[in-house]
Amino acid sequence: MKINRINIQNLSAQKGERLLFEDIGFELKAGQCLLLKGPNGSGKTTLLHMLAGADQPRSGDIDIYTISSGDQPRLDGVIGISHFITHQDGLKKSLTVLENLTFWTEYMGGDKDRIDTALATVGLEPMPHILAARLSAGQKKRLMLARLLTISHPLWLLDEPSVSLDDDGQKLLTKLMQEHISAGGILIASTHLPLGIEFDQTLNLTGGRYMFNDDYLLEEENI
Amino acid sequence: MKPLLALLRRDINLFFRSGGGAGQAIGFYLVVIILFPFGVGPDINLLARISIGVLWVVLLLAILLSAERIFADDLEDGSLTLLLTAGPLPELVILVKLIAHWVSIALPLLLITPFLALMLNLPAGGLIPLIICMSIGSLGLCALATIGASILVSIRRANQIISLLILPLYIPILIFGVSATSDMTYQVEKPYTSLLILLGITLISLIIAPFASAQALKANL
Amino acid sequence: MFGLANPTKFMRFSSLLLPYLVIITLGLLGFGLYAVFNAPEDVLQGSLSRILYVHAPSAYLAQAIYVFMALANFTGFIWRHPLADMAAKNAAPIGAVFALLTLITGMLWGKPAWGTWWVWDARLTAVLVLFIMYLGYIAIWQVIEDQVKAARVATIVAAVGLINIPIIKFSVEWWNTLHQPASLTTSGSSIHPTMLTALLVMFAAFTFMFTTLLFISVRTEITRRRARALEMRILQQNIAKTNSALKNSEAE
Repeated sequence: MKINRINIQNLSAQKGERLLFEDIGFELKAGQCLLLKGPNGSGKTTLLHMLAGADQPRSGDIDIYTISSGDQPRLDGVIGISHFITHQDGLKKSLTVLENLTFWTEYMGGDKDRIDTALATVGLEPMPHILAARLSAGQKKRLMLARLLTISHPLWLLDEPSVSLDDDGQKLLTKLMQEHISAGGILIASTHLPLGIEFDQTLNLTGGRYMFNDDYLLEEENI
Repeated sequence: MKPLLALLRRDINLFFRSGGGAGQAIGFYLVVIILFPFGVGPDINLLARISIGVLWVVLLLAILLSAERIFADDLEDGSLTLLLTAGPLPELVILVKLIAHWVSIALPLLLITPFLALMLNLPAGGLIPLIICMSIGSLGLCALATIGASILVSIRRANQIISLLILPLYIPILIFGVSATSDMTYQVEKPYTSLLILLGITLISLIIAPFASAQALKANL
Repeated sequence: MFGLANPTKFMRFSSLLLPYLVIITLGLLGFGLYAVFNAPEDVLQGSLSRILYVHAPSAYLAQAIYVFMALANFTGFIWRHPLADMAAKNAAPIGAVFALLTLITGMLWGKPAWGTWWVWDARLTAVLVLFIMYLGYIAIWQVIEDQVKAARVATIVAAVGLINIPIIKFSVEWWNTLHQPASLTTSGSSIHPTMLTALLVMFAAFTFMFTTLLFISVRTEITRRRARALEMRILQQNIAKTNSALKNSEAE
């Protein structure tokens, strides 16, 4: 599948009693990338969660336009088209490197034939049968990156992807991102560290404000 | 279909490899059944009379106590988010996890039931009805446990509240499970009526559970 | 914005209505109790049968409130009425108390009638299960702090409970007839017209009592939430003031 463009309008997010961001919007076309900036707790991760379909916005729309959907936004929304890389690795400690990767490849509809080359690319080739519990943080991150290679999803959502990667790992990450973009993919990343690529757009989240669920109880009294 | 099969394989694989899940439930089942005769006395006739009920109650509690585990690990390492957003319908994902839970928790319990039934002096001819009814009933019990687990997925140490929530829902399965088992064991007139009702309740639970759990997980993530 | 579901309008409307509700409830209760003690005693059970006038309305309310609660939750879920969720949340403890009252009056009746405080009678057992369901529902509101999230989860709990209540009742009755038939009724004696009147009045009185209690507790909840929102707003203003004061001093 290929995304033509992704359009976000008037998106607001609320976590408990905090309004993280309000009325943000942007549009990305195929082959473009966006950098998310902002202090801790400004809602970068929440925005990525929403783009992955794991969180409901308080208001606003996320519209995906694919080749097959034409002028209409995709009916399934963001489900099943994105890679979501966060600090939560989604790896099972009691499964081996190969088993973990094979599972996610099968589950997300990827190509099992690419598993060997993907492991080689991320540098985990020598250890396919090692339990994930034995991997270092950097190696776990590399295993997550292997997922990007075995499953071709058009939208990459990367939350601080370079954390715990060594120099080689960061170079690898940069290369993967460049390849993804030049192949017409879309990339949205949040980071505090330089990722080595030029971003087309930057979205600054400035930090939220308190927004109590019960605020309306006070407001309507004035009516 | 392929993604769901992969999930089923992974979940069952995980349960048997990490050992903790089934081991804990089996341990509980074994200990309580062994303690029972010490509590009520070693009278073989009394034990025979109460054996069906005791085995059912302890099976139910073993499944209830393992409920919290259905989603806990996947929530912790972020798998749950990926599982629910990767494409397969959340309801089907939950159904698969429910079946995996049954295979890894209830099935081992069913396998050791014959030995424990001997120790409680289960009436002759009671074993096959017991296993049949327990296989069906435990599926319903797992389905209801899934609802409880998803409702309280973001609460730590939620087991007590899950018990409070799910216990009332377990009562019909317990009643018809015991009744179906004893009807078939003692060959009463129309021995299969209770079994059919048990089957019906299990099916209803299996239908409700994925929908309720999907809604609950959506609210909780 | 929500019509009557607007909390301000609800507060105004309910403060007008509440005195009438209290008067009607007290009037009906007074009249009902008078009727109860003037109704002829049951031939078989004597004065004991008067427990029925509290027991039966409580049992009816315990069940009706669960249905009401589920419907209110459902309304809140679909139309996002915060008031509907508050109604559901506040109905639960009242329903639990009526369930408990049913159990207690059942036990009080059971001791002289059956010679034991508790008999696993089908209806009493069903009420006991209902009582546990209320406790589970109340626990949900307690453990989930975010009230918006709690409302969504509570809706699921109530809906699953509502589907299961008939199944539970059916199975408990089945189980009971299998083992020991017994039931809290005045079976074997015909109901005298004055008894019927007293019973109907008590049903009405209890229903009004529930409505009154629900209005009071929803009002309390709104007031409590308002107070908290106000507190938070003042706190926030203070923080903003301190911040700007800090900035000014830095500039100097």
